[in-house]
Amino acid sequence: MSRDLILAALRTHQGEVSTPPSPPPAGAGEPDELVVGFTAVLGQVGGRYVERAVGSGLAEIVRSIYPDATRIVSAVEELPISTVTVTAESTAAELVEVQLAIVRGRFGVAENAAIWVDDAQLPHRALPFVAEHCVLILRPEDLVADMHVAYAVLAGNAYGWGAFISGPSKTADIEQSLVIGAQGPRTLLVVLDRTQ
Amino acid sequence: MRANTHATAAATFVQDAERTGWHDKALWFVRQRRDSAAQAVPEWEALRELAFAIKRHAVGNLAHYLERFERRATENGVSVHWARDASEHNAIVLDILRGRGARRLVKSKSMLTEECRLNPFLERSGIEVVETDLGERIVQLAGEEPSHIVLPAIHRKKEEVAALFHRELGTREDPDPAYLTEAARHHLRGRMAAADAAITGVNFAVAETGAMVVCTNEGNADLGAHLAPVHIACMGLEKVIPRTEHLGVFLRLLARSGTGQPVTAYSSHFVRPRPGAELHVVIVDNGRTAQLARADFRESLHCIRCGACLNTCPVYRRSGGHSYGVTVAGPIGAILAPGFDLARHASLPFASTLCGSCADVCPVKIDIPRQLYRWRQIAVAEGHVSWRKRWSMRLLGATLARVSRYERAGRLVRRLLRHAPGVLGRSGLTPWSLSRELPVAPQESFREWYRRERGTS
Amino acid sequence: MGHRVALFVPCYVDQLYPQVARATLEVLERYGLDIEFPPSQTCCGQPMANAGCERDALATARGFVRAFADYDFVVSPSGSCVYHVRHHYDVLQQTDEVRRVRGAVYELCQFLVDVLKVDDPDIAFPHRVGIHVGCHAQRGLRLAESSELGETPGGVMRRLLKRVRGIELVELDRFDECCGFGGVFSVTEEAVSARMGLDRVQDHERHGAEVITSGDMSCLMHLEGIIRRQHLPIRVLHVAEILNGREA
Repeated sequence: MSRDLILAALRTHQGEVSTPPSPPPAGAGEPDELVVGFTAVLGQVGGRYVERAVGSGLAEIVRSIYPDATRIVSAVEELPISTVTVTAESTAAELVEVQLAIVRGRFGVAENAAIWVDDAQLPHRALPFVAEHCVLILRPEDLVADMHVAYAVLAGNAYGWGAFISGPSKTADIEQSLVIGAQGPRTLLVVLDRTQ
Repeated sequence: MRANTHATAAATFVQDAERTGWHDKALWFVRQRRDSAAQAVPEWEALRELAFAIKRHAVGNLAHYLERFERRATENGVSVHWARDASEHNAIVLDILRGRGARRLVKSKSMLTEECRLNPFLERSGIEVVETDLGERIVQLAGEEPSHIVLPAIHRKKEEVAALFHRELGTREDPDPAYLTEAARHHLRGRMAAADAAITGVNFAVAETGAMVVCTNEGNADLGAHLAPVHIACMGLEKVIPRTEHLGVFLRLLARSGTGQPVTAYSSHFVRPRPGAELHVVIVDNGRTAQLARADFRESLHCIRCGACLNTCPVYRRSGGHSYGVTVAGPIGAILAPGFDLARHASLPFASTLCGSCADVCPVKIDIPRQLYRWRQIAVAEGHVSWRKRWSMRLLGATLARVSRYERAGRLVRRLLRHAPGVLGRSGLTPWSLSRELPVAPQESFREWYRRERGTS
Repeated sequence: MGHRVALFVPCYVDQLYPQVARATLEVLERYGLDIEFPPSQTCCGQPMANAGCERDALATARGFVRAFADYDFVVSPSGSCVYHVRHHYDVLQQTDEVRRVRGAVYELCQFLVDVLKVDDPDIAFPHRVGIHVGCHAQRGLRLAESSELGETPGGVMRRLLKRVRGIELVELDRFDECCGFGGVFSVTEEAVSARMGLDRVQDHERHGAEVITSGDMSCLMHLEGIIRRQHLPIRVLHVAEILNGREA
């Protein structure tokens, strides 16, 4: 059996298993610095952001930026503006028709503008990829400095699937010229939600 | 006598001086973006050290970590398959597809499946294969191999892509990258929505959790994998790392090194299959355990396929990826390929000036120049260079070993250079004179002058 | 200083560029050193070893060790040969003698700056000069800062040249790009080698250099071959020739 042959061959080159090296101490930063860093990098990776102040409505913000979106899927409970229902059973044909997806991000990473989303926030894993436009809602206090902290936050969390999303989909495969909007979302908006 | 394959292909590439300059500049631009991204991380060099240490540990304990990974993945509901070589890998994939009656397959970029020649195999078996990474789709439609592991179509100009898309996809012949990307978007989203199965590569497999991490910018790996009922992830067995916390190190290094981005747009972690769908992983050896057994070259298995060594290599930039004749081109390819088939790839370790730039940009600190040098010694020892080179070096070694012979030979060479450069021009030095003048030889060597003036020796 | 200092002249410098060896000797003598030239020296063995024929270089390498066994310092106008002795003599049995010689070899500028602590070479050279650090000196011996490591141009040769009176150092687009010589590469990969050389020369030309200087004559031999073939208005000088003050 190939499995056993491969493992046997590998074992002949394997010593006593020692402890693997550990990453450096996680980076830190003041909350305001993290916001500044995050938003700066978000701009570099082709994303944009708005701040939601106390008293302003999420729906108004989203509608003002995406006034033409008609097939909307909101996976955010306090934002019941879905016009299309997506479930785990939705077909590919239904999913690719979604124009706007609104998802709550679990936390964000200041050094690379990545936001973590996973199964728990989504009716279907494909949602943040199939939508023409993607809105991620994030609380500023859920920003961490770097990927070391990010994985420390994730440690012990069970998820079936999850991803870091940093900006909209993009490609530079033709002559290294950057085109925003490859196969996935054409735009990515982060709403920094300061109301909680 | 063997044909000098890289040199021959490279000479053809270089003949188009304008294109060579264009190719060099495109990759140098990526290299400069990498420099800026690396400099923005103050602890960059410490991260590289750490990545090297983690990989050395992981590669030194592959059996342990692969077993752990298999156990966790199986608990997560993932079907784990093992393949000793390319043909077993291809057979496993076909078997999974046939078992589900899948005929339409979409693929995100996977250098492993390129290495295994999976696409032609599946197509011969009646499977429709569509590459969904834009660069991969371009080379697939053009009937070519990728020329770069991260930028598969870097050798193609936008006008050529426009002509190709016009012919294959019916677009207008507009070289605007935004227009071409938009056209590809419509074409590829349609294929992904209709696919029966999706294949992705694996950037990192985590032994601790059984997670498989796939990084893309276009979102195509996720679109394919989340829309199709079957997802098959194909990975070289060296991709396993011990712990989740190690992902932080590698994800910080990978995109910054490769394209100068702080991270890829999507870093997707596949742990359990989607409800109602299947998730498979094929763990492939295909020469990797053999490379592991070669102590001098074990480090080559640290590679995370970022492409930084290709972008920085002055030879790669001016000879193009296809001149290497292997899936993984450039410096890293030149130390990996001889492990697969030294006779076939014996010219690759010589396709380098040993300038050392690759080692300094490598995020996992592989000492590529040292391994190129070692492969050269082995290629010669095992008889994979021309008898002419072999004997000229033997003669040179014998000449330089004795000062009397050396002096006689030196006088002869100088006399020939002064009076009959054509003789040298017709000798083994011919290629030198194609684009360069030979040096003007002096009457007197330094040591002759020294004897005359200082009178000691 | 009571140390025995030897001059190692690389084979091709001895035969083709004796003026570079003389300049090296004279520069060192200006600092009051009694420099010896062991007559049994020939070559470090790199030409064969780089071509994959390390076995054919063994006798030459042993001869190198014998020739320089009795010296505290072995100074050479070549970063590449010094790199070879320091990094590729593992193929020899590591006797005390071999280890000592490997530790004693120095590239000229490295020796001037690190050992003799030369700060000002006290020389004039009123020309526009571009610096080419050979890759073995650059990344092998780390005798200059590297762009890959996020560093700006620097290094022992630049430190010395900066103090030369009247000199104007030109900054290049790619300060530490390889010239494409690469030993046997220059012949077996002629096309790419020549293209790299042309690009390197043009970077200097574009920035108005009258002279390209280097610590390695092999790079310069390659670049000069291209310059002469293309009749370009630029010339090459080994750094020893500038530091010796003969060429002003």
